[in-house]
Amino acid sequence: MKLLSRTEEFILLSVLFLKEQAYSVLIRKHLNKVTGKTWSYGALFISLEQLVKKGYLKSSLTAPLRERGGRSKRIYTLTKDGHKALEEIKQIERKMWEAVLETDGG
Amino acid sequence: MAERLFRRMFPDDGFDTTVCDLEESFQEVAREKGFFYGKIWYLIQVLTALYLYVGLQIKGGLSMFKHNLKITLRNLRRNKGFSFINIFGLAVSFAVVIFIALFIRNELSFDRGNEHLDRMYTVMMSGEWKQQQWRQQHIISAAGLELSENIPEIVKYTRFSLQSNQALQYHDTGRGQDRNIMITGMTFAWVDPGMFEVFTYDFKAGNPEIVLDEPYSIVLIEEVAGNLFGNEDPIGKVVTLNNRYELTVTGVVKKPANSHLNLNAFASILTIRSIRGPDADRNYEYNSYPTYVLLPDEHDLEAVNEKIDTHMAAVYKRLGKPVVKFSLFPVSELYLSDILYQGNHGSKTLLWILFTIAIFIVIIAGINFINLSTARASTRAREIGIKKVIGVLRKKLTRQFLGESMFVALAALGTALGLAVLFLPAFNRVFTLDLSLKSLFEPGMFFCLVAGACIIGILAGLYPAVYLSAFQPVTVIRGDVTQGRKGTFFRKALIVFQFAVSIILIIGTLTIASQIRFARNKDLGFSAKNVVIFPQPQSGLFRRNLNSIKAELLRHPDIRKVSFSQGYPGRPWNNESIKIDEEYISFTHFSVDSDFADVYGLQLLEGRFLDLNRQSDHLRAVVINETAVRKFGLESPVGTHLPFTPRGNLTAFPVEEIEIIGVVKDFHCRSLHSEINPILISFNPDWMTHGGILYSGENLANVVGYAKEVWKRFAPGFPFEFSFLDQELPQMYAKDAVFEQVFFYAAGFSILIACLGLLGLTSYVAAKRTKEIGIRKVLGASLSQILILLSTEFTAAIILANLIAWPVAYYLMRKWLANFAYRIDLGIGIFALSALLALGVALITVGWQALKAASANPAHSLKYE
Repeated sequence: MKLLSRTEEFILLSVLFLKEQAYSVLIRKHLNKVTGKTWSYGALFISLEQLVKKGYLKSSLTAPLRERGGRSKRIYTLTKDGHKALEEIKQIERKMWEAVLETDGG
Repeated sequence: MAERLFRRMFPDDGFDTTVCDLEESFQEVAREKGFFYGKIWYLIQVLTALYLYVGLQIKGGLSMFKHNLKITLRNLRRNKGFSFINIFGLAVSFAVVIFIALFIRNELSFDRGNEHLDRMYTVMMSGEWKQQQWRQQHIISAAGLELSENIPEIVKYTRFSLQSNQALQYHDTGRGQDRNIMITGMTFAWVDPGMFEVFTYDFKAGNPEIVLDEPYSIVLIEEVAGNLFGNEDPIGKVVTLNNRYELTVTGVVKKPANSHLNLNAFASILTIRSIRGPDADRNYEYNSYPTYVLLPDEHDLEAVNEKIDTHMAAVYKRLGKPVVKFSLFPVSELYLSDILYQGNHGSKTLLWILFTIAIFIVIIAGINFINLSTARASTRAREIGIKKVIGVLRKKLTRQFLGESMFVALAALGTALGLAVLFLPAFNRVFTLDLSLKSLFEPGMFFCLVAGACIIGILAGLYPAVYLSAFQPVTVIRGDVTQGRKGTFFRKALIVFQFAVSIILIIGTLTIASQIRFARNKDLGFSAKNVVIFPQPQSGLFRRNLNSIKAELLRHPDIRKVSFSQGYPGRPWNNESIKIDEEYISFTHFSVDSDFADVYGLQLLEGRFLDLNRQSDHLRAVVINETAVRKFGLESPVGTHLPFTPRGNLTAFPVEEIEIIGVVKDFHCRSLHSEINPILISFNPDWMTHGGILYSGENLANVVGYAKEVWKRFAPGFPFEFSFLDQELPQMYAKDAVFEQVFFYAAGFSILIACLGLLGLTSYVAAKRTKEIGIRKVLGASLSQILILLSTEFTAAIILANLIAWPVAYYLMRKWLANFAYRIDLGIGIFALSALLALGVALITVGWQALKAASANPAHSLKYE
């Protein structure tokens, strides 16, 4: 019953955003832009693989592309479990903030 | 390699895609920030990726490790018996290896206390004689001086004039006392002032650089100084050497623990110049001075050797002496070399033997481990089957088992260290050593031990790990795990090997023991019974009055005969050679008096013995032994005159010809290691070193006391030291006795470990066959029938082990026995005895387990059908 970590959440959201264009280079660019911090490929790849192992992401290869010299790109997509995990964490965050605001406002 | 690791990160060949992605980014970065920056960026990305990946692996590994550890401990506890045998067997062998390692390390560390060890050399003289190379450390005293004067590379030097059996006396007149404290039997040397600059000694008092600069100065070791002066300051005190010379103590040193030198005092050689003249230590005749030199930090050994050899050759040529080769030998290798010198000797052979034994013991223990682990297989079958069904990778299983064996190995190491601590004092006692465990805990050594244990754990655990992880779940759950034929064969082969090694060691022990016994009991051709030996004192008074002394001693009713001689049977002193028919034949020489033959029980075969009353018998009359007759090719020896031209200037025969007056039966003047040489016996009054007293065999205390009285009259101030000839002789085999001990203990351990292995195996087999045994019993099998059933398998293995061991042992023992000129025959007796021993021990082990199994109640074993 492990909750998504921040990093994992951001990665999943990036994948969600990029739709069918979600491969490592673009994911990284998006993350860099939105979070304002530079992400290293190492951390990214490892996290991506972990997410695949956990079943939140699916990875697939495109057809061979000319601009890559005949090699494929690896695209990541969200699975149903991935969607659920994002939902879960969003709810929990909302509830946490609500609890704080209630006492504050009260 | 980094690429390989990188590749591994993406098992589904995501490598290609990843690299491409990276390249894409790289292009961008390079475009924006420049090519060079891009390259660095790329590098950083790869490195961080690697770093994170490794970290992840470790974290994953850690949790796996904890899980495995839990399982390991649980297994060990469940199979307490096996685990104990496994760990204990390994622990015992590790302990033995630790002891051997300590010993070897100690031996290798000799002389390392010397600060300049890498620059220290000893001067060697060498040459060829009758196609045989010889070399010796004893050279002329002038050599040291010549070389230091003419060879600039020789920074410091020292010679040794070794003196044994010296007496130091201190007349204590302090604090109103008046007493003499004397120490005797001292071994010390006259050395050059440079002694302590060549050799590093720990000075408790005095300045090493100047202690021996003055004549009549002496440096003592702590123990001697303590014995002489108690708590008083030794510096400046005067001691008397041999009742003649007064020396001043200028320094006190600590005797180094591991040094090839075995000296208790050092006196300045300049003293000899004062006593006998300025050139007394510049002798070109007698080769009896070990010489050591110190070379500069940077030196060309070849060049220095050249110079030395050239110079000495010139010196020798000038003196008309036959030229010999001079060279330097590093002191660091002296202790273990085969060069003869006075002092402590090591033996490279012994070290190699010990090393081999250690390896063998580890191999045997490892074999045990493999055997037991694989034998236990079926008990773990269920665990393995289920794990595989769950989906645990075989590789992971293998790793788990390897981890288990490493754990066992480390546990064994821990136990071994405990055993070592426990048994070290006993070990030191048995082998008269002084080893400490401290060197074990130096980081380097400790790391080696742990790494070694781990490696052994892995190596030994490899086969069982692979074997166990290969179990098919189906066969396991069906309960069908029967040992493959290959497995049993392998295991049997290992047992055979273990026992073969043990048998070899047993045969070795028995052979050595029986050879030593043979040597001790053999008829030596002379009689050592009831003979008291004493060295003659360095006293002129004594030496001038030998006849009177003899007469006085003979007055005692229990003293039969007395003889003064140089050397005695068992301790020859002089070797020379005589030219016969253009060939030089070497012989051993004893200078004796008329009673020699009687005291030592020599048997006269022809002619007569020496009669000192006849002047013509002095110096030129000789009695020879049978071997001499043979080697000299004499038909009727008695009465023959042989011309004598001495080789070298020092000879016991300062005459032109010698006359043979008698022939004695051969006797062993040396140990049985050597052949009997030709022996010449003559009388030369200047050559006397010992005295021998033949007594009746009774009233020993009385006899000794009386002899002491007589001694005191003629050698006042000199202590009377004596020994018994029949106790001295066995000491010639001291080194062999050490071998015997080593083999004995090695054989003991080997058998112990082999039996442990056998025990484990048989108990397992017996347990496995409880059902079968139960059924047999119900069907009416008797106890003995079952015993035979269970033991036959292993008996065959033992017999095979014998067959393998015998030829190997035979070959090895023959080689060792070749050391002895007189040896036993390797009879079938020893081999048979060893075989019986091994068989007996094995049968007891097997039998015990079989008995347990056979006497089990069939009702119990058949209950769980």
